Amino acid sequence: MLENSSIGVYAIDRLALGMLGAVIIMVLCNRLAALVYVYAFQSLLLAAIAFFASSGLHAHHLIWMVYLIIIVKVLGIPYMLLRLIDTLTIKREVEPYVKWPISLLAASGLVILAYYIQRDILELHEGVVFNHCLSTSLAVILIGLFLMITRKKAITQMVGLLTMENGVFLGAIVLTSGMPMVIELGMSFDVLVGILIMGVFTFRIKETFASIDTSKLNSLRG
Amino acid sequence: MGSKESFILMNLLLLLGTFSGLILRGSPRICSYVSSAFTALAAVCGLFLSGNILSTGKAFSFNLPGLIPWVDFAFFLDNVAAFFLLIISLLTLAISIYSIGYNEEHYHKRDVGLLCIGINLFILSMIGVVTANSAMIFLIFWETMTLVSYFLVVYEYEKEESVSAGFIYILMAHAGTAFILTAFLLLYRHSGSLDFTAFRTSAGDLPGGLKDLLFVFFFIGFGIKAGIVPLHIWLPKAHPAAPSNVSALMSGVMIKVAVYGLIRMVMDVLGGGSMWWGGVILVVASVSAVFGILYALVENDIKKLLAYSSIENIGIILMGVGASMVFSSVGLHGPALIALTAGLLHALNHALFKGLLFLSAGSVVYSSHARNIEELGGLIKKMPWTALFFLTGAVSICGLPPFNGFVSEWFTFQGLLMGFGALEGGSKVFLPMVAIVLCLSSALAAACFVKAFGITFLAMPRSEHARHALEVPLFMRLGMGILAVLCLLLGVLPQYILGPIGNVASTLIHAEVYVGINGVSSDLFTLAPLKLNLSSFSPQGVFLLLLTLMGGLLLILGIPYKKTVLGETWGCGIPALLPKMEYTATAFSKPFMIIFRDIYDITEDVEKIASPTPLQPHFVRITRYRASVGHIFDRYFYELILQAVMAVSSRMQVIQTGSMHLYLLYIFVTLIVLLFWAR
Repeated sequence: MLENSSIGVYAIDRLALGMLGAVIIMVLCNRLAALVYVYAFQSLLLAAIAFFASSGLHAHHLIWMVYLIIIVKVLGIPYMLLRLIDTLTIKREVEPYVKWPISLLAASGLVILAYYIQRDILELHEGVVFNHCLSTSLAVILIGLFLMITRKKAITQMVGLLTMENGVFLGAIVLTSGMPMVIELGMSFDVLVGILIMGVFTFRIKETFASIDTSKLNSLRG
Repeated sequence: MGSKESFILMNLLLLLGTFSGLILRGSPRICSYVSSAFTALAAVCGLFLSGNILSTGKAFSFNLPGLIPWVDFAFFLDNVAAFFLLIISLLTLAISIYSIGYNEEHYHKRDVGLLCIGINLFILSMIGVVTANSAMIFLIFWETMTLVSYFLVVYEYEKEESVSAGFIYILMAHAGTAFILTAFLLLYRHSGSLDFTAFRTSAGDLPGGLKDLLFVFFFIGFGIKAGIVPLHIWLPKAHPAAPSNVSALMSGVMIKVAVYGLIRMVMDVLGGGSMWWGGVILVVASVSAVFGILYALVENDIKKLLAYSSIENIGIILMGVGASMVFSSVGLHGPALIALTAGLLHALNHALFKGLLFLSAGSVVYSSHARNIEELGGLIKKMPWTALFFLTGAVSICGLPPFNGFVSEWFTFQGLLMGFGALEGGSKVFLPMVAIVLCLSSALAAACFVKAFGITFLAMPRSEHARHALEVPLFMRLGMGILAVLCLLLGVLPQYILGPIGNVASTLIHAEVYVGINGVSSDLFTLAPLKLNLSSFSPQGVFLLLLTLMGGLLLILGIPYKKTVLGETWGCGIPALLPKMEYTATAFSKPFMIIFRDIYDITEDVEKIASPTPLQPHFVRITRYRASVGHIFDRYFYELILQAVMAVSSRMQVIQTGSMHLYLLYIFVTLIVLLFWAR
């Protein structure tokens, strides 16, 4: 473990809070494209965290993760999503089930829940120097799931899932100071393939229902 | 070349076969030749490796560290694994040569590359299963084996039959894996490691109830893959649906891999158990043997017939295994050794002759494009080699000397009958009764294969397909020829393989003390179990006797000197004999259908169509007879399960609203509740 005052640890902690901020902005986003841009920004923050972790936590292979995150999550996936939005949607607004104020309230509730749940774990492991990272990662995961539940369009659900993925990455980096390379690669690949498949399915949903509103899928029920 | 090098080389060659299939997909001929050549070379390596370990008895372990973190790729080849590797390699060699010819059927129709990739991966995964030394690796290869074989079953995906067979197969296979996985996890909780060595050391102090539970789970899990009745329903559907070379692999080898799993886990790792374990296996084995062959007997699809007969043979193999477990549970290591040797020998023999039969059936299908034997006939004149090979396989599987089936069935009888002298109480009678069941199923097997051979190859062709059939290419004949020669060799000279198999059996029942006795006493000419003077026979003597008898008969009848005179067959005065007048397969099996009426669950339907003119309503012009055989296990076992599942599902439908968001909400709520609960 490294000393508390290290600049890297400080940076990681603040950047993690930045990721939490990004996900709360996502809750407030009104346009689909904006949602994707915020996601890209959040991924950039994640890349920065991986960068600081690679030097600060002596997990040098994480530097490859930085490149991977930038290529896949900051550039690749947002590009694909923006193209999907361009080709598929006429109304480019996020259509929520739950209105903005209530969403925001729920999101803050989830943040509190995340901090509450993590409290004991932090007490258990005294060596852990990150004040916010674990709670933030859990909060990002929970809010990502919340986004998936309360937004109607297939694309918003993809973004929600990706946000959860970012939260998982954050947790993995700070908890384990970098997983073995195989697993990191596997996770990135997983995300990429997942997005490809979801993209194809979104096209199919559009073809079948003339819309990407997933609330219409219940007519499939046998 | 040491064991380690040949092990690595074998796997590398199989991987090369896989990749060459992938790269050369564009040109099917080159792809088929190159990939099959790699497979054959790998098989030679496997033969070398298994021969090395079986003859020296030196176990060898191999670790591939660091490939995936926390998962140790640990392999271990003792003589048990080597014996099953021998089975795999022998069949692989023959099948890879056969495939070079057989694949021609698929040139430019289907993707031959995919077939090559599938076969190589399939063999690789089976080798992985028998050599794995940790539960994790075992399961990885086990699942790869299931998935790859699934894709091979649905290779002819445009056929409805293949797809539905594949579905049932993968469903049953995964149910089996669930049982195996559960058993492994239970063992893991007890031993704290996924290593088989750790399982073995901790198995001694398992509580009795848990041990029994583990046995049941392993038996169900591996039994599904082995095709025991009543868990067999996938087997007669999936094995015939695959291309014939894959059918041979699945029926010849894959179900043996399941037997390997069963004996490795139950006899070696758990170290045997109470007597009822063996009893359960014997009962299930008897049921499998009889039902398997009964269904084979009324089947007219040649590949389905062979698949059902595999169920019978798995029954015979398990009879040996079960009897051995009964004996070793009461400390009778000698008879246990004999029974297990018999079971293992039959596993090897069944791989050879069932492989041979599937390959020759594949040849028949290859040149006639008909699987229903009612459409065949007269093929012995068009395809003499294939007919010879099929006959060899059929005689072996019926357990007639001088072929290999006789030796292993004879030993199985010896093992079972020994129970009368050696055991006390109820099992004194029980084991000989299993032997009686074995008698019944052997007799039925003979009837079944008389039908299969007679209707397919003799008399006149019954359809255009059969009339235009041609002998198959050289490579296919070569592949079948290897297996046919091996069937004869193991029937005439079983002494050479019995010694190593005896060692394998003594490793399994932990009877190291008895290695010196070696179970089977065999000098050059006679085989006798345990030197008990109970019974003995001389395979070479039988062979020579038969040879002399045949030669003598030919001489006495003067056949070599007679000129062949061709003449008309006398047709009772009817001018022309038509194929329609021939004996049919359905008619052949009709007496058995009548005798075993209650088991077959037959629905018969006779339809008489009278003459259309109103004046002659009582003159029947056309009579149609339809009979179909139902499967009592479908009706009394699977129907009930299906009903239960449907009943539960209709209740569950309340929460299935079809709204994705609601489903996500379920997950969300569950997550939060669990987070609170686990805090």
